[in-house]
Formats: sequence, C-alpha cells, structure tokens
Amino acid sequence: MLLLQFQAGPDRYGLDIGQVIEVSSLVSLRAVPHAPPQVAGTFNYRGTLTPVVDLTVLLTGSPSRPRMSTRIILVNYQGEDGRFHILGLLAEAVTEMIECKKENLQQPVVGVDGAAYLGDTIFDERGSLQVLDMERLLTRDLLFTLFPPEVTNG
Amino acid sequence: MTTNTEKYCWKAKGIYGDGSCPELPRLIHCRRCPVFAAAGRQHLDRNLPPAYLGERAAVMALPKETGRLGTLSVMVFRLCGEKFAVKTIYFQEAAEPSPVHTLPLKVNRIFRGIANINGELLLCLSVADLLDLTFEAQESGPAPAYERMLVVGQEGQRFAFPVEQILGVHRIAPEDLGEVPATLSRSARALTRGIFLLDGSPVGLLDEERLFPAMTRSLNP
Repeated sequence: MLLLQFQAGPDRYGLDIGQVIEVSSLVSLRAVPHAPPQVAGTFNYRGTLTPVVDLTVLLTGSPSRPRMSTRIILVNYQGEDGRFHILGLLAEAVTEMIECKKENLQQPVVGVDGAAYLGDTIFDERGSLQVLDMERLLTRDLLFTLFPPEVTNG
Repeated sequence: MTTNTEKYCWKAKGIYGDGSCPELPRLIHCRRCPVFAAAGRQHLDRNLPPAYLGERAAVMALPKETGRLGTLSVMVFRLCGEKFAVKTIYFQEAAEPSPVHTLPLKVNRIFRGIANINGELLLCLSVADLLDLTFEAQESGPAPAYERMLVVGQEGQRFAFPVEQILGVHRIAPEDLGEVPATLSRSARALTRGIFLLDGSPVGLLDEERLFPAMTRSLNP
C-alpha cells in the first residue's frame, strides 16, 4: 500500500492514498466561528466550499505551523448520510509518499479511548510511522458539524 | 564555513564538489543519496513568503487544469530548418555524423550510399531530398554541431539519414494532428500524415506507411 506521509509534533504518520484526491499547498482559510479547535476553517476548493480539519490539532493539540511543507490533503470522506464529501486535512511536512507492505504493519499495542483512528505502525530506516484510519478520523459529532445532513422539504 | 560544508556536503565532496564522498561510487549521483533528499525536503520547511496564502487560494479556487493525454510518442528532428517527426517505435538509433560511401552506378539524388553507423553498414538516404526540401533555411539554422545520423527501421529494413538536429521524444495527442498545409512541397505532402505544434512551431509527422516504401523505391529508381 502507498501512504502519504506527514508529521505531527516529532512523529511521523501516514494516510492511505486511496481516498486522497489531491494535495494542495497551504491557502488562506476562512475561520469558522464557534467551531471545534480541530476545524481550521473553510476554503474554495475548485468551486466547492470545503472544510479543513487540522490533523496537528487532532494529534498534538497545537495548530499546524505555516510552512511551505504544511499542506492540505484533499480527501473524499464518507459522511454520516453515506454520501462522499470533499474534506481538507491540514498537516505538516507533507512531502513524501511511502510504499509499505501490509504484512510489515504492526497492530497497535496501546488502545486509546477517543482515538480509534490510530492504526497500525511500521518501522523503517527513519524510525516508525503510524497509519491513520481515515474512516474513523473524525468523530460523529465533528462529522455532523462539518457535513450536516441535508434538510429535505416534505 | 565548516557548518555550511557539512550542511551542503554535495557542494563540498559530492557531485557538485570534488567528488570525494565515499558513498558516491555506489550512488553515482547525489540525487540518489538520502542526505541530499532530506536536505531537499527540509528546504520546504521554511516560512511562507508574504502574499503566498492569497495567491495559492486563488489558484486552488480555479478548476483543475488537466493536460490532454499525449498518447502518441514521436521523435522530433530538424531538417533544412523545418521540424519533422517519426513515430518513436520506428526510431532506432541516433549516431554521430559519419561519412557516406558512394556505390558506383547505384547512388542517386536520394540514395546516397552506405554509412558506418556504430559498426554496422546501413543504407544512407537523404530524406531532405525525398521530401523535396530546399536548403534555403540552412544559413539561419543551428550550428552544424548538432548534426546526427538518424536510424529508422521497420520489419528488418533499416535506413540512416542525416538530420540537422534531434529535438528528442515528445508525446502528442492524436487529435492534435492537423491538416498538412498546401504550401508544403508535393513530395513532402504525400509523405506527411499531419502537422502538430511543438512549442508554437509546426512539426510534420511523417507517415511511415508511405515513408518506408518511398525509401525502398529510391534504391531502385
């Protein structure tokens, strides 16, 4: 499997590229008042209003630093209603893709409540890299905030 | 300075320096070295230039530009100041210019003789004469240093012909091929499949189905 690598704090993480549409450079984001801290803002992604979640906030609690290597990973994300939405994931040091074999992945040894997205880990010459489970990345509440179900009339 | 030499080791002992790095014989070039790659990535960990965010936001708001799929691979070369191309599958070799030895009573305006191309004797033709090109543009053309012998082949037939310059392999979309203009000479029009634009200048794609028979015919006029 091919992983898109990024960094949060000192640690390396990876996302399966299966759902990735595109990696965008950092852009100016519009703040969403009263939104949870992980929500970095929204921006116009090729004509679509797209919310951006800061993975550094999600993983370390502090926001991503503005750097050339801090980028927005655009993914197709399945909402509560089963439909796919475009979601931006803000992360630091998004500069590389890693090829890894599924059999080299090691299951998590520490289960953390509220962080079900923390997946398997691989070791390579530069240390360890933990794969994030895209489907469990956002909590139901956050998903509901970002992609509220459409109100149908009648 | 010491820190800089350590930091930019490729400039000191690498391929851009004196080449004394012990890893170099194994890696051949610094771009295959993890130190160089890591330094390149670190280069991206710099602060954003002013106005960067706004500029990028404007770019990302636009629809994604998708280049047209170039499915036809062609070898482009220059002949008498004009650009021509053959499909890359028929291109076999590009060699240094070599003298052409005439064959008594056999050679003509198009078939010039045989040439030694990398140890192999090949029939040498003048495609410029086959296409009835005039050498008027020669003066403004590129320096003769770019001259090459181009070897094309199909089903065991191999021909060499001199060209002024080889411009490399390019990919074009078949739908980009346009009509051959009427201003081209009659022979050139007959042997050209279509015209496409490369960096704004027209290139004639030669029709291999007619080129190879025309080349064979020139041997026994």
